[in-house]
This record gives sequence, C-alpha cells and structure tokens, in this order.
Amino acid sequence: MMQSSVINENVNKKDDFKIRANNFLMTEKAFIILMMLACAGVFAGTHIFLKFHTGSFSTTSVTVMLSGALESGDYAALIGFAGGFLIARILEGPLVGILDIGGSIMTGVGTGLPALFLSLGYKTVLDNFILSLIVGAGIGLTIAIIILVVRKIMPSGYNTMGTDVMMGAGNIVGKWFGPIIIIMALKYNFAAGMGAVIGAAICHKKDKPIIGGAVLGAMFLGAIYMYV
Amino acid sequence: MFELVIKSIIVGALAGAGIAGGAARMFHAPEVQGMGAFRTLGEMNACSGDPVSHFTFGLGLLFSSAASVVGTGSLSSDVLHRIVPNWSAAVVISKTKKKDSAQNPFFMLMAGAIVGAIVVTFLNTLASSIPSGMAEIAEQVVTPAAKFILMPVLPVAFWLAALDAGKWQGILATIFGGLAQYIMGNATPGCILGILAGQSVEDSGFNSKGSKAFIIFISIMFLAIAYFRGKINI
Repeated sequence: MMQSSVINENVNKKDDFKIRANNFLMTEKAFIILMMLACAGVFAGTHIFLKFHTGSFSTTSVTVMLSGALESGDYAALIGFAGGFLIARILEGPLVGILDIGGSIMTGVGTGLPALFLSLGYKTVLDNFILSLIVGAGIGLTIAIIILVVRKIMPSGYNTMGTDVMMGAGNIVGKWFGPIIIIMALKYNFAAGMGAVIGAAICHKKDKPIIGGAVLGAMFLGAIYMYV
Repeated sequence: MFELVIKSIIVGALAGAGIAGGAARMFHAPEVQGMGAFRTLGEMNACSGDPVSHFTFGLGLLFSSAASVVGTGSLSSDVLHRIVPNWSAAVVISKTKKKDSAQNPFFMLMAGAIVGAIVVTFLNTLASSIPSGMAEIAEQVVTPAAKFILMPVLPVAFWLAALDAGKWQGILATIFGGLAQYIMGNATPGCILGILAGQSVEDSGFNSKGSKAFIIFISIMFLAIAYFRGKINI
C-alpha cells in the first residue's frame, strides 16, 4: 500500500514536470532560449565549415557563395545578400507568426554574419569553437528580442498578411528543383542523366517529391559509369 | 577526426533542440511565435502524425543532403528545415503513441537534440569517407542546380506570386524587387517585402499608418544597404 502510493507520487511528479516544461516552452521567454540554442549551433557550424570544409548549415548555394568569398576575400556581395535576407526575415517573422529559419538563421546567422565578421577582421570569433558558440548564442538573443519587440509594437490584424502568397511561391520553388537536377545531370553525362530520370520517375510513381530520386539516381548510375 | 565528431555532436544537439522546439511552436502560430517555415509546417501536416511517413520523408532528404555535404561542405537547408523536424516528430509520435505529440515543444526539443547530434555527426564524417568520384558528380549536378534555383527561379517565383496576388502586391514587389536586384544582387528579399507591404496597403489602404510606416522602413533599409555596398555616393 505504502509502496504503491510512493510510485504514484513519482509518476505524477514526472508528468507534472513534463507539463510544466511544456507550458514554459510555449512562453515568449522560451522563444529567446530556443533562438539562442539554434543560433549557437548554426554559428558554430560555420566554425566547423571553416576548419574542416564540412558542416555548414547554410543552404547549398549560399555555402558555395561563401567558399567563393573566402577564396577571393571579397565579402561585399555575400553580406548584402545574406544580410538583406536576414533583415527581411526578422521583419516578416513576427508579422506572420513563423520565423523562416532558412533566410534568418541558416543564411543570415550561418553565412551573412560570419562574412561580416571576417570582412571586419574579427577572425577569432570563428576560429575559436567556444567563442563561436557564445557569440552565436548572443546573436540568437539579439534577434529574438528584436522579434518580440516587433510583435509588441505591431498593429493588430497583421497576422495573416501575405502568408498565402509566400506559401505559394515557396511551393513553386520546391517544384522547380527536381526537373533542374535532371537537366543538370543530363548536361553532366548520359549515365548520371539517365539515373536522375529513372530515380525521378520511380519517386513520382510513389507520390514522392522527385528531387530525392533524381539526386540518388544521378549519384548511383553516375558512380557506376565512372568506376566501370 | 575526434575533434570533428565532438564538435559535430555539440553543434547538432544545440541546433536540433532549438529548431525542433521551435517547429512544435509553429502549430500554435500566430498566437505563439514559431520557428521553421510554412513549407515545413505544410510538409509536417502532410505526414499527418504518421511516424513512418515522417521518417521516410526525412530519409529521402538525408541522401540529397549527403550529396550536398560531399560536394560543397553544406549540410543543405534540408537538415534543419526537414530532417530534424520530421525525424523528431517520428520519434516523439512513436514513443508516446499520440498523433499530436509533435505539437509539444518539450518532447520535440528533447528528440531534436538527439536527432540533430546523430544526423550532423553522420553527415560530417560521411563526407570525408565518400569516394571522390561521388563528390564530383554531386558538385557537377547539385551545385549548378542550386545556383540556378537561387538565380533566377527564386526571385521569379516570388515575383510571379506577387503579380498574381493583386495590383498593389505586384506594383510594390516590382519596385522593391528591381531595387533589390540592383542593390543586393538578388531580387528575392525585395519581392517578399513588396508582397508584405502590398498586402498591408490592400488590407488597410495606402494612407494607413501601418502601410506608410512599413514602406518608409523598407525604403530606409534599402538606402542604408545601398550606401554600405557602395551603390550610392553621398
């Protein structure tokens, strides 16, 4: 009797903790913490990229731009593009209720701000792993506070503004990616191209987005052709 | 190698926890500020709480991310946009056996830390062990495709969406998009701001306080960026 009541109490405590943790994570304060975690990880991911040439969280194309900028030492275009994206997303995030982590955290914090630091000569910020985590968390804190302030001063009724339009455009871009992969694979060589075609066809038959199949097929047949 | 593994685990766990926790909050937007993307929310809804769907969707993208990391060193945006949220959802739903567990930020944060650490470490170490031939194919196929998406597909898609959305959206996206193309080298941010500003004008009129403030704010921002990029000389 005694024992079972102790167990019950423990179970209740465990559930209680989960509910309280959950309620806390829905508050505005928790948004700051989540942003600090995400930005620390992504910013330090760029430290890994600079050191090992792998592990950048930024979009593929933006990472390619960063590699180019590192070689030429000209960061202006990259800062303008990634910085513009970051500012646009920080403005848009509180307006629509969802912060797009692609433009803000991955491109902005992962590439734009590192490019800014590098161009200003603050290379230590990215050379030191611990420092990069701290600076990343600081960036997350700053962005989160800006977003929460914009949410506070924003006129009401802006919440659904432009959301449908943006979703539509996002979907269009997603759809373009598959066919372009196939075209590029066919431009590279016949084997990779055929692999992409077959992979995409299989994915389409299974009602999956064709991009995964196109990439896998191109890699697979292209590699067989290369090694045989 | 050891250093890379340790750093990958730390970075993956931090980013994974933050992003997965933010993704769970997306289901409660706009009352709660979420993190992710409308694309991500739509895809997670499409998997409708089925752990197998969430998992296979992420798995397909893991391969294209592997190709990207081999070719360019980029984990690709799919890792945080799609793999981490969907695999975290698969973990919490199959563990709790409740379809709506993916909307619970605490469960998602814990799962995200584990998924993030595993995925990032796997991709970062896989890259150095994949044969160079595979890397070359990825670089010759995926990289030019991604460049093509960034320019011109991305700006054109947002531009067309703005033109379809209405008169003001189209006009403002054209003006800001054109300026952004010249100032920033890519029209996309301008088109997005044009859509938002246009929607505001459409909803509350050109002379409303909100619309004016928004347009003036964008104009000042553009001028500042143009100045710092040396496009205008004062």
